[in-house]
Amino acid sequence: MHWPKLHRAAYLVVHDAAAAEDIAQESFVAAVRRLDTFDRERPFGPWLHRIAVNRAIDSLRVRRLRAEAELEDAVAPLRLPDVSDDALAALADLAPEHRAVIVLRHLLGYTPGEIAELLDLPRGTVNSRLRRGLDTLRERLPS
Amino acid sequence: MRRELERIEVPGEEAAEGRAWEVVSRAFAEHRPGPAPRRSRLRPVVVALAAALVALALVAVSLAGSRIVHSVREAVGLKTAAPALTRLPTGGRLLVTSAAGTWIVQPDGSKRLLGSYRQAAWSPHGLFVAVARGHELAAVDPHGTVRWSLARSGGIRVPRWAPDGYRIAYLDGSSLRIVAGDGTGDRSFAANVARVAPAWRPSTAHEHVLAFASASRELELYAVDGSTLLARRHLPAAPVQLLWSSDGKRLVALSAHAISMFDRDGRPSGSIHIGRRAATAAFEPHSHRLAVILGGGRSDVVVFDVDRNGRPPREIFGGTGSFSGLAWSPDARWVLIAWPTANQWLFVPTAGGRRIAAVSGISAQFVSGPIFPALDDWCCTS
Repeated sequence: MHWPKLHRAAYLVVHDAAAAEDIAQESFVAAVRRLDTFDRERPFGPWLHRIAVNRAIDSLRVRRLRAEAELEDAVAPLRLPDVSDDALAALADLAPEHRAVIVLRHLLGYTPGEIAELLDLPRGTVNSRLRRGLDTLRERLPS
Repeated sequence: MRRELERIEVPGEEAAEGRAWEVVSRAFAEHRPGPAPRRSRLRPVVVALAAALVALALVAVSLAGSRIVHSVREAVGLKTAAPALTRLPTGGRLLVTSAAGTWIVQPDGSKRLLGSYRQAAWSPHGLFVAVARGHELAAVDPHGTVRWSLARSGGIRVPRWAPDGYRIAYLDGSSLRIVAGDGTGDRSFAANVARVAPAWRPSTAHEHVLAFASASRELELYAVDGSTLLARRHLPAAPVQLLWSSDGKRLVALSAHAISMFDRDGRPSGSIHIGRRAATAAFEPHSHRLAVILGGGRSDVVVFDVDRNGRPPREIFGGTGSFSGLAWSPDARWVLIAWPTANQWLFVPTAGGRRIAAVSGISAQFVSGPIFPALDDWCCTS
């Protein structure tokens, strides 16, 4: 019941099917391994989503750092998949941190306050990223 | 906005869920819960998952079953085995593939899961890994980031990097294909090849000489860039493995009961008959000594000197059950033996003065379930 949304959320943040599958899978495995520390008075979903979204953001940061650090390389730089979907294309233009809050708010249904807690961010930062992300998406998506 | 996000197609969604279930259920079965906190109340999803998997565990391991496993362990495996892999005995990184996928093991014993791949091979200096799963071939960095990928209609198997990193050879069904190291220029090279990994001749020059076996038991040696045939030799038996020595001067075709030897240009230089069934082999780095796993009831790792045909091999380790793989450390001071019967890895020193280091519980550490992890390679000191 958690997999489809978690996998979709990871994909929308990283825009890489292989990476999204790994992130979602590793998040579940990490959750299993941390079951002993899980506070069972709290809902399971947000705990799992926090693991996955943070991993997705970390994955993108590492990818960016790697691309910048490569000087001599026999392998081509990372190519994003051809994007034909308008919404996916619009999301691709956002910074990863903006994508993450958009996905948490509008796909997974968290309130800005809950997002702030999940990502350990000030609430104002979350509101700001949501506003800017939505403005960008509205410009790009056909009405 | 929610509708837009839910409408986006996620590639391979259903297949990904199937793969994830296998991995996660095994991880849960291996999980050993600590004491439950007070006033705890399991949420329904955790209760349902726990109940289903605990039931499976109880069916699989009865009290009688536990006694049988214990007595087998008395005769199989080293009792002094460490319960977990905390470090490698020397430098380099391991590439391991389990049911969960492909892992990199660092010298300090830490592991990273690259992804749910089925086969993998290091690039020449360990900067990248060529991985395969199903119809997909990809190049990933050691953090698992996909640098490029391609898909083919047949099943993609046994990718192998050329010594300079600028070519990758792989099997697509019964075809041999070559692609550039950056994922471009993918082309078919040969049809009707045997299901044996191709082997690039080691070289410091930018030459791309590839050995492979045809389905009709021919060993073929090609300079692939010009498609120039260098040698074609009929093999006495179907090969299970092709290997080059690290200096590129010796080529071996290993079959179930023989080692057929060739020089760098594919000219035959002798053969060694093996009375027992040979499973897999690996050349010692910077030498012409070949370690071979011999099976049949018990398993032994023996070392042949392919330059001294007729000299009996030297045994380095033997045990009950089966050994499934071996790898030399990059400095040739250790041989790692995979022992699925004992669920152990053994690091066997090749010189005197050191003790065998054993590690138990390998399957659980790689979330592998009943399928023992495969040793892909031990690479590079940097």
